Amino acid sequence: MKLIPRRYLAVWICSVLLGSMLLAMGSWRAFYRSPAQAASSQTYAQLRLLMEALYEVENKYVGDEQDTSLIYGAIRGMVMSLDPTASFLTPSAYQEMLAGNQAPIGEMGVELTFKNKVLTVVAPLEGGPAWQAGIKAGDHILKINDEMVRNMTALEAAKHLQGPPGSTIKMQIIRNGMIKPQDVTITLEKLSPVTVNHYILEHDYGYLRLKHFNDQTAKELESAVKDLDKRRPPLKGLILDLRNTAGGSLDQAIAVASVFIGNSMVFYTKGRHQEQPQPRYGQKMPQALKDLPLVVLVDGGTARAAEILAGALKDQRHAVLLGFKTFGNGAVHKVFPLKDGSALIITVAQCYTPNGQIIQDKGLEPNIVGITNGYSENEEFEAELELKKPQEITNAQDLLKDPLITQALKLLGLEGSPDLAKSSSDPIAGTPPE
Amino acid sequence: MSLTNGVRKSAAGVVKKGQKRAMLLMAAGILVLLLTGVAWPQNDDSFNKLPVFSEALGIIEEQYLEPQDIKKLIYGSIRGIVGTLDSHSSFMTPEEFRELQIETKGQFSGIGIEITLKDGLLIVVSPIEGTPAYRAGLQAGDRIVKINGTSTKNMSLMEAVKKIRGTKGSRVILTIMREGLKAPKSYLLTRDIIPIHSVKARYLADGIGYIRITNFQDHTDKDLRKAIKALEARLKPFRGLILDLRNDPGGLLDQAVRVADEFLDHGLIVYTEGRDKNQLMRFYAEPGARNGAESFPLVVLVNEGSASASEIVAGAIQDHKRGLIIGTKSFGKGSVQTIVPLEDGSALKLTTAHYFTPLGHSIQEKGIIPDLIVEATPLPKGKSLKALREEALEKKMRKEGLTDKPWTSPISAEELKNDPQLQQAVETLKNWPPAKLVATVRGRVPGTPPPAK
Repeated sequence: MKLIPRRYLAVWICSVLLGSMLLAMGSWRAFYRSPAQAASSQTYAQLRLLMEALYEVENKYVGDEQDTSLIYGAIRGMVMSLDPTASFLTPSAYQEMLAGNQAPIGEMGVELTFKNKVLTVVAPLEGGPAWQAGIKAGDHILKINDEMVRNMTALEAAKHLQGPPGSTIKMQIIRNGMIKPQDVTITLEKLSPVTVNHYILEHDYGYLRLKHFNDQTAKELESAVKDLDKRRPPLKGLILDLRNTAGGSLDQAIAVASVFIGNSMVFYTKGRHQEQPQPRYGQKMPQALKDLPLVVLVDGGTARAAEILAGALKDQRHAVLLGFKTFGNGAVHKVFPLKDGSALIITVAQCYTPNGQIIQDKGLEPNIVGITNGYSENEEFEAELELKKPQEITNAQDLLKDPLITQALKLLGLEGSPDLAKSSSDPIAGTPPE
Repeated sequence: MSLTNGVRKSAAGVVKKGQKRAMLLMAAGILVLLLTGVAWPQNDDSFNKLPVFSEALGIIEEQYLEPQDIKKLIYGSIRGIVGTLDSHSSFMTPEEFRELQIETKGQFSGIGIEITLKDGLLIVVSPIEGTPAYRAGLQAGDRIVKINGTSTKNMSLMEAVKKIRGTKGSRVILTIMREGLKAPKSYLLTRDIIPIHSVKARYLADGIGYIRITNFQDHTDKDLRKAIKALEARLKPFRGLILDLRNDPGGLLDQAVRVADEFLDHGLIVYTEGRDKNQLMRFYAEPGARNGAESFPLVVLVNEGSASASEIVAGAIQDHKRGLIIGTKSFGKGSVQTIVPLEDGSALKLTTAHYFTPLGHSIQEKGIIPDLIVEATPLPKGKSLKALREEALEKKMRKEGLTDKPWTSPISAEELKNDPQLQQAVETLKNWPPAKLVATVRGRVPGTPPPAK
């Protein structure tokens, strides 16, 4: 008996709120775009559908869910339907982001994305806790501390994988080919601030390893490059290893690229509201090792700042990309605060290499495809299915066991002259945007 | 599939609701000023928060890299809402909802082949016996290159299924390639009603019947009754039945009740508790024996793949001590989902209640613990994972299983050897009754909630 009038009332209120919602949208539009464009009837119908769904959940679902979480869930779901890099921040998460990281946090050193709606490791940070535990690029994370990963953005997932240094996190992961998911427990650490290592290989070749990007990376790289430059007799070639180098900001990419290409264009962006491409240039600085043939090692774990760097080096310094197709994350994000203190982070533009190649989703194809090591397919397959710590690199000798590095050395040695660069650059490059 | 309830009932309900709502929407304009001050009866928060949502929607429409289809955004939002609920709640697009309805109806109109996508090729897994495809001579492994003259290159499985299905009596041309054929061959097929069987039966030479239920859908109860009758007619004396619910993910709640009812002559089968604690639902067995199905020796096989409706049946049989449960702990899904159709043909699947066995045990997470725990065959040693996986896939492709042989061919000793759980079931039936069931007190199961008025 009591239910019927309530139901009517509910429908009334639904329609009233729908009306006020459309009004709110209208005024929002008017604010951002001068001719007030009324919400189309299609928008109206779709919003009504959302209200219907909300109403049904509120009345029929067995549990007592918090109501704001429903709306935040709705916004999160909408944002996640855009692309896997978009985020929704609750008011507290947004405040936290604005305040920056205060306490020293423990991390496991993984870059994350969603692939077909499954949380996926873009790349583990070399030497980091996840890497030590045998996590590899492409691993899917199904559970975190026994909780199924669902209804969260990549940014929120990354938060779940942080904690006080020394604490542990249990993950359930599955790798392509595994019959059953495996559990792995990882102890969080404060990540080492060192991001660049360098070695001399075969006496005449420089090797630079860039493990990940932070604000110090450009400085570290600069001093490493200077160090290599001092080497006598002078080096004959340089290898820059960007495999499994994920993450980093666009600004960090620019700072690091400046070490190699000075004030040339690093990339340009184009977006929905940008008619003209917007180029981004490096800073002018003394160029060391400027004429040295350069081979850049890339793979599917090369993402974000590393991809932008690889693209810039290929186009502006005639570097040869050796290895495998890069990940393909070149989105430019923007934060939009909402009235209740929450915020959206969505893609507003995309990065292109100086010669006009888009990075997002497509990734960069290597100039020369890497050779894999000599296992038979089956052996490799079995070996790949175990979670075990990869070999640690402590000296130049260790590096020579890496098939891609030997391949790079061969490439540099065979050639030994700047021709390598010339022969490889032009046919691939598109037209510069200017 | 999961336990679902009242698909059609709710569907009928929504039409009326839609009409009411249309009228009310018109009235709403007048009432705007009167009602803006009125609070939502219980939970006003999510509706108060709607402006935040519309703000977000506005920003995305204006600022996101590319213009977005609003329908896609709203579907994403509804997925997000449902994502905050339990993992059994979900949202279905109209297309997904139609698929589900076909699945649970237990029949569809088509030509009767199962197809799969293997390495980008559209392959016939198996033609279903007695269907147009079977009669025309399509074979397992045939590669479908064209459907009605359209190349299947880059075609998704969903798309292909859609093109092949159609109303009864209509026609479709499949062009297939097969090993040994020099050129592609075309078949003209007339679509028909294709039943999906959820009950499969075989027997053992010793007068023991075997029935496997693959899922709970429309007609599962009728098919079960038919299968029991056939077994009883054939096996004289009828020494008992093995009901195999292993890897049965469940299905319709009312079917679970009816299947349990086949074996019980009275008493509570299952009860549910919803959001409103007063609205307790109880499901009873129809009083009175029928076909003797309520009395023959019964063993039920369960494993970690038995969920939901399977657990209701196993739980009722266990609590009433009607039969012995053998196998490993079941999955543990004790919630009921209701399908709520939305006005544009999409639907929500919401967890609306939890259910309990007659003795009041919650199934959620605990599962049904068998009376006799028997593990399945351990993985053979010395076999590489890859080989094992391929074998499993092959088996699935060939649909190899106990019940894929004609039901009149008895289960062989070899088949029994490979299945220790089934073997134990046979042993138990040969030495009936087992000690665990001897103490049976027929009558009301202790601890059952009092019958509803």
